[in-house]
Amino acid sequence: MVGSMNNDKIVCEEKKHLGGKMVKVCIKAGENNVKGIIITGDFFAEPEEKFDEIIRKLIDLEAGLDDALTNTMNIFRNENIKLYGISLEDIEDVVKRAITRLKRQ
Amino acid sequence: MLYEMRDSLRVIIAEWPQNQFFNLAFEEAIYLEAKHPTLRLWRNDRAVIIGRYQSPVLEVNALEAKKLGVKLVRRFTGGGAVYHDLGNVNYALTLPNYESELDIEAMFKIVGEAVVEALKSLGIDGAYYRPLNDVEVDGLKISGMAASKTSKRAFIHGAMLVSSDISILWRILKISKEKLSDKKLTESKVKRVTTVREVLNKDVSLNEVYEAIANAIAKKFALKAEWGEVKRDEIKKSLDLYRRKYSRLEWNLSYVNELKALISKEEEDALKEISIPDPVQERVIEWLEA
Repeated sequence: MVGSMNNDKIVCEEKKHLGGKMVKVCIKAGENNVKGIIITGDFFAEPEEKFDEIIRKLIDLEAGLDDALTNTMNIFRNENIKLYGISLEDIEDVVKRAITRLKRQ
Repeated sequence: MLYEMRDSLRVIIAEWPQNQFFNLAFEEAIYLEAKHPTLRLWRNDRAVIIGRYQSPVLEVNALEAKKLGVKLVRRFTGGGAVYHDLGNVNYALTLPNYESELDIEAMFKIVGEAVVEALKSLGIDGAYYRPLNDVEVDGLKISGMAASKTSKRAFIHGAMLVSSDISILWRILKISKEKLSDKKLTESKVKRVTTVREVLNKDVSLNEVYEAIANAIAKKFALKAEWGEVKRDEIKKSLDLYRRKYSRLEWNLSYVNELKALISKEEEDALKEISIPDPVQERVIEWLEA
């Protein structure tokens, strides 16, 4: 899924964990930089409030296209979150795919 | 198990189907307020209930939902979007002081197995729990669950499709191909869900379903089911949550602003319209506040 707003574009990718849940990643980006990452899906997280905080941090994340993946995963690894239905690797994989797609455009 | 057979499970039927927003506010209120193990049984009129971490932009076909009079409410637990109508029975189990090491996955298994027993008592023998949070019959989902757990409190709720109009699901949910990748294919169309009525080829009464669920969950947790009443402080807490959270776009339409470039203005307007109570629904609240 792709959309655009002003000069920014939004690219979305998704992945279903085998036998598990879905994670959807949308990245808002300018010419060469990320202006926010939105992670949604039908998974479960514990503690829920901590995951809410991570989502808020990612929505405001600004980074170069080459740094965005590392910065995203650092935010997750700095918090003690337990995920059900998806894994951190799934999130990493989908963010990576979305960034790759952005770079091709 | 933490509880002993002498402990009781308060079972309440607490539903305001005309106001789906209040129904979901009550769900969180009982999670926060219940002092004893409590099972709430309830129904909703037409609504799509999305999970805590979902974006309506990516999950809900708002134009179709608006046309069908379907409301949109976000729940406080994770998991996926479900469709509610009066043919759908919801169950919500709150276990306060449940200082168990069991995680959400283990809780799903326990309650899922209880739902299997409830279905068996209704005459459905082939149901089984499917991890993570479903109960299925012959590969088709008949009940789904969601949960929240802290170190001292466990909450598991779910929906059992009894006689729902499941054709509406296809119209109001945006179901991606990825999601369908491990679901059953039938006649070139993917069929993912079934109902108690469809499996049994007959209707069952609401009371039968309520009793089956209450008895099976009480037995699973070694508790004695005792039918009780809604408490005034639970209504008060629900009204507070309704005003501050569940009747508001800020909650129901989280993760919409960031993604609105993906939908048309018409769809955005439809999302806003279906995600707040209408005047008729507000009258239910006025009556409760009186």
